[in-house]
Amino acid sequence: MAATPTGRAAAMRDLRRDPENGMVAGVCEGLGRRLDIDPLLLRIVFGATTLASGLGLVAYVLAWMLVPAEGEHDAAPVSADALRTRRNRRAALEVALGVGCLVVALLLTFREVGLPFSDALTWPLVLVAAGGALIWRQSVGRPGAARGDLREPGVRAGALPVGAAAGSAPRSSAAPLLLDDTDAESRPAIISRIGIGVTLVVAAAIVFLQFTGALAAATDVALAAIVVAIALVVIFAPFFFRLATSLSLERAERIRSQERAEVAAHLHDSVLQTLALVQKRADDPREVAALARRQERELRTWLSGAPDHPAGERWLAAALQAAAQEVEEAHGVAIDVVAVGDAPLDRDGEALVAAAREAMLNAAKFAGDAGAVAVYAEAGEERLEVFVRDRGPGFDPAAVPGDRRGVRESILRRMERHGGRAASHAAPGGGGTEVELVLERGGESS
Amino acid sequence: MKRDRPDRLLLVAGCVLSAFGVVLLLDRTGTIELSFGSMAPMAFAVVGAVLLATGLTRRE
Repeated sequence: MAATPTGRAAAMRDLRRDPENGMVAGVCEGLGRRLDIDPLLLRIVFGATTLASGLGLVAYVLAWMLVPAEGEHDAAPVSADALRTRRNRRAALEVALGVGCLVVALLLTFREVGLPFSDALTWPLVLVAAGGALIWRQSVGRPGAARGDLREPGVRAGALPVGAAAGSAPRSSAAPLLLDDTDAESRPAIISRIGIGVTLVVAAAIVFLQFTGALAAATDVALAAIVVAIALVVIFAPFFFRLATSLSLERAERIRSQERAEVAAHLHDSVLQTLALVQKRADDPREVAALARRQERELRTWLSGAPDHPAGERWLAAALQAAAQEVEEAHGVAIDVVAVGDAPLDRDGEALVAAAREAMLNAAKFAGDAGAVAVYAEAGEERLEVFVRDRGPGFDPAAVPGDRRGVRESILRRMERHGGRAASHAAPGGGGTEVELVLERGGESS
Repeated sequence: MKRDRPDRLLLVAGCVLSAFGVVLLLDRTGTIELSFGSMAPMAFAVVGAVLLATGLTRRE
């Protein structure tokens, strides 16, 4: 019975080279086992056809390239993605080699028939094409990048931004040109690929100049330029090295400083405020125990790294209402919240709400006896604004002692860190204080 | 009735090897005269065509 096409394909798939037992690449060994023929006979056939016309050699090389070796695809199981990536990589290599062979065949044919294609033009063109292809491929993105099978840019293990430690969602950072669609592991490969491409293009230019004789005239100038460049490198290298080290240290220190500020602001808003409340209500053991439990839960959540409120799931108006309710319950002062428009909260928005909560707390603590606190929020297309107004006697920000971090760290610097601004001034109409918080939408935080 | 698509790799390999065989036959009959200068580009062309077909087939 004739074999079906599917059966033939399966038989082809079963064909494997046996390099371990073979003499060269194991083609005859594998083919003999598949056809149940003594491999020696096949070796004689290949040898004879090679000696007679060279055809045996071509057939052997083709089989070497096309037939997989034993165990090549039967190793440990791999995921479908890894298999697809491996197959695509091999396919790309085969296409590139095939095109290369055809181009070489074309060039050899031109030479054979005597067409005026000299080496002065051919090899520089080949080098430029190869180098340009490498650079072009890297600059327009690797295959697969457009299909979204790469990781999110800029998010890497162990490189979480400052806010991540305080329970905020990680934020993507801008990456250098040509390297923004890749992870840390493949970065050296990309750099070396670009380096090889640039080298090939430069080599092509040099080869062309050499063949045309223009290089001889430029050699003296190039030599002088190289000597001057080397001298400049020797002179300025230590300064550049020191500058780079200094910038790196400064950046690390700035990150550490921001982390400290985030931690300090969080501790002030949570633990210090709770301790102040505990002192105030020391005569009510049940209330003190409830405050301690709530603070313990909040602190454990924060230390575990889980966000209190996942970014993107809260909206400005609801978050301000919740903060106002919390302060109302803790201090017994009425807080009226009016919101015009609404917006989902990202990391910066959460910082705005935290700063507003701190302003409400201050108003409740220091001006609560003077009446209700008013909170007015407006979510516009370009910015988010929150005004917290009390009717207290007011205060002079410059007169606040240095060890009091409420206004300075939890409001002013917090807003600055997240790309916004904060100011306090006398409330319009006289009497009281107004804290103004403004956050530009779409602004970058540091 | 559904028919299997022809295997592009086998088709290309068969065609180029057949062409190669025809060239060798013409050489044997004296119609053309082959030398290393003409065999080398032909061998490169055969290998290149098969590799290109393999790569394109595998990529689909």
